Amino acid sequence: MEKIILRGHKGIGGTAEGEALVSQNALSYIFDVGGIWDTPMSAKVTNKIEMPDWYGEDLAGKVLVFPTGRGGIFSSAMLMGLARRGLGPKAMINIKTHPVFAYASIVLDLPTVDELDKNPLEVIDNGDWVKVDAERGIVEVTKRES
Amino acid sequence: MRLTKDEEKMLSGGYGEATRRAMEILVTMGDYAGAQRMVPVSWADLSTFSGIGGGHGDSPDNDLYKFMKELDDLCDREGVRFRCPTTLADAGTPESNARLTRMGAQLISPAGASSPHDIFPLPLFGQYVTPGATNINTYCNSMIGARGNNEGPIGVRMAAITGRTPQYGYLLNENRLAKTHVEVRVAPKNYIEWAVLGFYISKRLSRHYWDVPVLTGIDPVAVTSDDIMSLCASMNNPGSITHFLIEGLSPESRTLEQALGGRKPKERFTVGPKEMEEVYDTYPPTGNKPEIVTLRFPLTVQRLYEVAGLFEGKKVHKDVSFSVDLTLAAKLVAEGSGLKKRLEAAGVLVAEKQGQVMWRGQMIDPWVDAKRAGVRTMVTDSLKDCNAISQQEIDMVLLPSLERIVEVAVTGKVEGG
Repeated sequence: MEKIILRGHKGIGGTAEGEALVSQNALSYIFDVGGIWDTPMSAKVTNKIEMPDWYGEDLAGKVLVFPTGRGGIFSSAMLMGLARRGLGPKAMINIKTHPVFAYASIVLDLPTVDELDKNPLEVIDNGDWVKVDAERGIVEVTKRES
Repeated sequence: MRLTKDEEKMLSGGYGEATRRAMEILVTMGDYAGAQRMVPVSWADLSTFSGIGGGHGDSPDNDLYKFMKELDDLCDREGVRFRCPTTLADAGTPESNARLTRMGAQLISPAGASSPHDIFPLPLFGQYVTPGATNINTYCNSMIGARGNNEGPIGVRMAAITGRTPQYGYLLNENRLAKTHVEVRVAPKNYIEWAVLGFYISKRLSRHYWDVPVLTGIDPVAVTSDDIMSLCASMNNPGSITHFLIEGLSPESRTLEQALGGRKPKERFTVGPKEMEEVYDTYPPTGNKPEIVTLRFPLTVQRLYEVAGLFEGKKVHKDVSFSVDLTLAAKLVAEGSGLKKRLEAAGVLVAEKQGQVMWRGQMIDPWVDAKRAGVRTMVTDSLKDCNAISQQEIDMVLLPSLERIVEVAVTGKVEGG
């Protein structure tokens, strides 16, 4: 199976692996994810307008690949609330991590990396198996068999 | 990162465990974002996260609340005092207010997170700040030339405890230069239109918000700071533009050349009537009757008088719930001048806490409860409302002026549906 390595600087948190979910859009946990008003709380994407490529997807347990975060400083509260319920992502890979997300990752010890030597939005596809070693700033992508 | 002796002492626990934890978080953030050093903070504003009920998503059942509470407990035991001027608004519980003020925060209002600027002095050019509300942070960056990243509730709290913030992002000169040239070919007539302009730009740059936009084509004489505050709010919604420049208005953008640092922009685009229309078309009038009508962009003193004028001799329609949010200053003026009573007599609900509306005899926060409460249609002046609430499959209608919104509240009908 084809493997691709992406390298960057030291990230936040340790290591994690899981299935990739890739969006070309900036993510807001507060405006895009059903957690705030859904009963029970969920990590399903509910914002059709701003997050069309993830609409209906469940972000729980995935390695999330997206350019950056966007408006809504309470994204950190939602991300932390979901994480405690086992609905957080396994890891996050960004072009540049939004500070609100980065602080949540620090507190959660959630593996998070950015500014890699290849564009993760071009290299990683939905369903690829991704290992994130944030300590060393290395992302190993095993391409899904087509 | 290179730390000073005092910062090293914080990090090694010399000032106690709470300060050590706060500094550790800031150092981790600084290392991640490529900061070389910490800088002293001139103002930290805890307005948007203070305790239970102090904001959306802020409940005793979430981890951020628990994390903050644990840290506050520890600060209390260790007698920690905030190390920089710190303000607090929109606090949730009397206990958390009391605790944070004991630590040195100035409680400037029990409500009204987005408008500490009318009570607390704004920072000055070149100062490092960590405001809580994103609109204030952007205003500080863009209109004053103070320097702040969008730190969010965690980064702001750690800054208050240590009096420091890592120097990365907009705290560095090179990142404050414009990379995107936006030619504005409309003349926004009111605060809603300014918000629409900001919304379009914010959305367009949401995937790379750090490519700072410089706006040209704006007549510096015709703009008010209320307009710009509205622009700053929507620059952070739906995207996250923490810093932008306006040619001839921003201190770091007396000219386009200065804004760009003598370089060519990476990208250039135009915002004209067609682009503005695109935003309105996202949240158009529907055939449904307006159930909740609201002015959620907190009314400034100026807009408070405008709304009171528009209600002269009129009343809110019996089938409509109409509520307004006020800035801190407007709240004081409304109470002192009798305008609040006049509005209430006309059937207007003046919200005590920001973001609340009356629905079937109960106060609800539509960001969280609109769907659960059975709301179907809401008319608003706020694109942030549209963005946040439309995901609950509620019909959100954005109207372009105070006059139109008051008319809907009075007649109970939306034209064009």
